[in-house]
Amino acid sequence: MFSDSIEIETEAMGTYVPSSANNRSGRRGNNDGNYAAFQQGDFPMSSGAGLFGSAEAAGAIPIGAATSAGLFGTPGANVAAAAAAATAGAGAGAGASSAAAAAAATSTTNGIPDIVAKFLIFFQRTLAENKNVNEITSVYDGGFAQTTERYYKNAPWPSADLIAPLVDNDTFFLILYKELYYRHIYARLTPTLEQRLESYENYCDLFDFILNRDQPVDIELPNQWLWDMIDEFIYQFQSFCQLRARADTKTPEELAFFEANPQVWDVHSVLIILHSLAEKSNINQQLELQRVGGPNAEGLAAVAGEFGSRGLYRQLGFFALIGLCRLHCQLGDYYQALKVLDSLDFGRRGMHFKVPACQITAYYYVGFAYFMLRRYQDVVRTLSSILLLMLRTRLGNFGPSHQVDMSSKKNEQMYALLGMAVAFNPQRLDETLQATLREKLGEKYQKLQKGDEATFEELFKAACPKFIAPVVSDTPSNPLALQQRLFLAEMKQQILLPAIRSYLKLYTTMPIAKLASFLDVDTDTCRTQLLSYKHKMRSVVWSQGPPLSGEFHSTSDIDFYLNKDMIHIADTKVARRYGSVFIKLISNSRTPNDKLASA
Amino acid sequence: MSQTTQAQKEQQLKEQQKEQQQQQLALPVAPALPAGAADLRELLKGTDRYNPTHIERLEKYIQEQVTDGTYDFESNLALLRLYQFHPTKVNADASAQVLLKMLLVLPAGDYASSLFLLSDKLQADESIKNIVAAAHHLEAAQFIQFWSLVNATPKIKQLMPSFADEARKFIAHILSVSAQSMDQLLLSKFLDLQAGAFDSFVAAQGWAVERDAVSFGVNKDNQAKSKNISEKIPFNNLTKLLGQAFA
Repeated sequence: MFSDSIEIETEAMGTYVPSSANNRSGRRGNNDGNYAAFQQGDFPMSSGAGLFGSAEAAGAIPIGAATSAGLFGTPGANVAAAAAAATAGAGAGAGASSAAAAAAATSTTNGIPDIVAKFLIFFQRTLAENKNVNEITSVYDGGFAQTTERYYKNAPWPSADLIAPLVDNDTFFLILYKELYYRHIYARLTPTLEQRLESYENYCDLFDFILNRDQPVDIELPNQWLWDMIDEFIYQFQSFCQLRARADTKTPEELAFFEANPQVWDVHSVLIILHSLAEKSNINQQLELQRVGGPNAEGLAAVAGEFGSRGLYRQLGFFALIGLCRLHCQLGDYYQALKVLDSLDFGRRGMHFKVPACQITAYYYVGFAYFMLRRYQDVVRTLSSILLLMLRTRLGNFGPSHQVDMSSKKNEQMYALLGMAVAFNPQRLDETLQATLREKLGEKYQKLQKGDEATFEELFKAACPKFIAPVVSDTPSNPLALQQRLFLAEMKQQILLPAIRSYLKLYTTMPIAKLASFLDVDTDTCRTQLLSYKHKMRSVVWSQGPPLSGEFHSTSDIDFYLNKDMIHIADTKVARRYGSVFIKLISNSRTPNDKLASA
Repeated sequence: MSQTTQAQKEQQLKEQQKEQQQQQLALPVAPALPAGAADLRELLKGTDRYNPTHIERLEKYIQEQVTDGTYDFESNLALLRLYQFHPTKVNADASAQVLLKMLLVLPAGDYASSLFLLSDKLQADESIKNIVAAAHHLEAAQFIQFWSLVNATPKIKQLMPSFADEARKFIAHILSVSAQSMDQLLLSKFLDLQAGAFDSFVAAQGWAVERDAVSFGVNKDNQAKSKNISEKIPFNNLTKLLGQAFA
């Protein structure tokens, strides 16, 4: 009987370890490499990012393998496994049997398969004893996901009460476990009201545990996990508000529940938690210092304080800022959405988002806030930079599956936003980007240029975030319809402008009456439209520093003035760009050179 | 030695600022902040921003701004935000006052950012509806329609007695940055001023009357200069490429 169980162990562990090793070294490592290459200040025109990427990915393989071997807590095995990365199967087998021996004392608990119980014990131990984030990452990204696939594809994980005895009633571990437990329910099943309530309470416990203490928690968690926490926290809030706002389909039990629990997922507590995370870590002060100049480590530590100098707090604080930006957008406060990011400089190279999903989220919401504030030039700048990055480094195409799904969705949404912004404010985009934009939008691209209202409406609906009605009010509110109506009103004013522009471009002087006849309107209307054009094209354009800052510039490439009934026009001449051509040629010639050299 | 470089740097900085100012577009003079602005900012810091006990003070504050012609965007936005979270405490008049104030600093994004915060109920409010329509006319430069709407809505005057005068100054600004001269009759319609009042307004703006037209004078916005955009590649963008060359 004993040998039986051992056999099952080895087999199960055997399948689990090498695949995790593959994951880490192949998919993840590659991604990290590309990502890191850009973060280090890669020039934007480069098409050779993949080149550096693959080089760094090669370096990442041993690290990845070492991490997954380190899972089993035997330091000696790290080295062995790293050396034998190619033959991971054999190394892992050895590691597995030692782990099985260490954890052989586990008895079967009701409803929990032995292997799961062992995994949980191991998980808890990794968190409690190991200060090495890489090892926790491999359990979080690898082990947990795989155990889920295998045992809990369409069922919840065992409840925290059931597993508490297995993990010595470790409070913090149980809170973290519950975070994963409820997140899994949200992702795979439909959460009941009770579960929504419990999940909310668990988030309160979690952030309370982290924030309400004199000494920082002595643990480091993977960045991906921290980001997922913040992301999920806001998602669950949003999901709850949507449920509550659907007044017509509510059952009496649901109504009674909402009545009895007004504090659950209250917008204030959500905001307060996110603000507190940012404040506890002094993240704004830290970012500010990084922006004004090369910070030295001591200066940074002094500003960060006891909590903020810990990776856990710093990262949570940073993610909370991005989370706040998202939340404000979803609530319709676009000014505040950008205001919370005051200490970020989106023009600076090498901003450390750490997690691709976080970077994509940040750019999407910043782009959307600019869009609603009518700063279309800034929309184009912000979205172009992230979309180009996604095109070139395949950012967001790697990592956990929920992250890949989210990235591809946000990618589509950003192209829709970009398409609309370019229709309002015609300008030259990067060639590759322009081609991709046309390909993605298809015939809608032409319709946008013509100012087709239905197309704008359709794209806006697809591109906007989920809006939130933060409180229950007597009148049923539909925030999406409201935001959409306001946008379309603005769109009708904006869309006249490109047509006027296209005619003005052909002349240096022309009477208003002549333009009126081209546009098929009377002279007075035409004059009005011209004045409106001049007014509308004056917009704030960001140049550096906080996202909200900027100066008033004329965003049009033509300028004109009226003299009585005559229009005087001046065009902008754009000189040809040579830089990107040369850089492309240089990198083209490098590739065969490199091949020759290595052959 | 170090002093001279310091002085040179300052000199350079000043020149840069001057250049930037010249590139920037002229805007209507921004209204000053009210006296209590700093205290209020302090009060609304962090999560205290969402504290409903501030509503009363903020309502008083917007009333002050309406009377003395000052303007504090952030605090006004905070008031709208509190209304969003506390629908039972909404004061439609105060919201309307905030909107009127924000209208007058167009084309800044103030008005756009506040509009999205108003609930369905507020958007359906009669005076708010009128203000939104007026804003639409103003942005579309439909000044004649703007005035007929404003004149037909006594509530606006009641909410903000100085609105018509300030809107006139705002329109005068839009016109003077877009045109060098304009037909007198048309201008008087755009400004909703006749005869004596019109003449004194024109004089106060420093505009010149030439027969049937009014000349606004030449400023840096109402001339059309062609721009040339040439490519600039900062050295930093090339470091990677150059680094490879020596690798």
